[in-house]
Amino acid sequence: MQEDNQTGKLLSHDGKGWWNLPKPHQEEVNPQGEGPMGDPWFKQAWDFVTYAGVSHASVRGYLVVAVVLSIFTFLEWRLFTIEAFGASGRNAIMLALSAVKFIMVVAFFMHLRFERKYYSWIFGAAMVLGVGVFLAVLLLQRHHGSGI
Amino acid sequence: MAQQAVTEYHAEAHDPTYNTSTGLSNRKLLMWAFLASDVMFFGTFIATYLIYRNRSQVGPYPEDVLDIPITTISTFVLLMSSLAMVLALHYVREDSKGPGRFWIFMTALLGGVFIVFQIVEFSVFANEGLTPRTNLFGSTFFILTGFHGAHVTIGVLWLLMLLYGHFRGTLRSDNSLDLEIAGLYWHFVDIVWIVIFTVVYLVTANDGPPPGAPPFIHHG
Repeated sequence: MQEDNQTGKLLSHDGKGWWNLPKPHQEEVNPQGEGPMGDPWFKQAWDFVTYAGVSHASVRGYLVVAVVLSIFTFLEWRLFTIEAFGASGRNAIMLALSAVKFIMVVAFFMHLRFERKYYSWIFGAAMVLGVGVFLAVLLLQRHHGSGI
Repeated sequence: MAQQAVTEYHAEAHDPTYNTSTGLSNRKLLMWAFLASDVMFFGTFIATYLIYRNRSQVGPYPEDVLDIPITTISTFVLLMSSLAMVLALHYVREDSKGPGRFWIFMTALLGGVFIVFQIVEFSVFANEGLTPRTNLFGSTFFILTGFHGAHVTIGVLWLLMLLYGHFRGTLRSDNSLDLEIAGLYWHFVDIVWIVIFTVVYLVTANDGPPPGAPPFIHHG
């Protein structure tokens, strides 16, 4: 197939001139991020989890997600007992871990990653609205004290 | 080619085009709309909890009652119930009756275990002297976690009904949407707890009495 394309390119004029010959395979630059097995490493990892883009993840993918969720929960508990980061740093890390857990459950267990985008828009809009109201209430409280 | 066939099979079986104005299942769309409204519901309670944080004038305060190791275990239990839920849906879609029933049962069981954890926690707090009427911490904490517990309880009852339907043969792969919609609800309950665990338990667990308020002395 590749040879046919190259032959076709040689025999046709695509507007760039006859001198625009295709490079031999050996001279092609490797794609950015290419992994040792050929595909980019992140694509391999993504396919492993997403079962190559079908409408839901594989059992193996679900188990991987569950293991990650468990590890993150354990890390949150361990962080709680560590004083080294200070309260602010510790809270920031725990909230970040929590956000990743949240997204993983929504994306994989709720299948939003594999669903039509309409559902993502509905939930995303609700999250933006919900978090917006949440922050607005907290900011109002900060500026106006307890008089809410 | 084989992968393409698998993709088409799944797309046809689990993501069909419905004869609706959106081309989507109205029931599934309704569940997503409900979950969107529930985001606001729980968002309001969490915001209220944070607004009244450190404003209780009498104890017990969070540092006196919250037990993080125990809550970490109950959080793990709820996360694993979400795993059981997706496995249940996976096997029901494949018409694997045994594994389908087993994982629906495990989901309900783990949800039940979580509720037991919460009942025990509430009982311990009551023994420590913390009730919804004690102080602002008690009011906002019990309202938030109590409503979450009510959601879990409804989810467990829903799952038991679906399990009964699976035994009777009314829940099959061709109408697995029933289980999928219940699953969306169940996972939502899980993500709400992910936020509650971090914001209410981990972030505020070391909160003591605010300036000017007396420390809590347990007289039990």
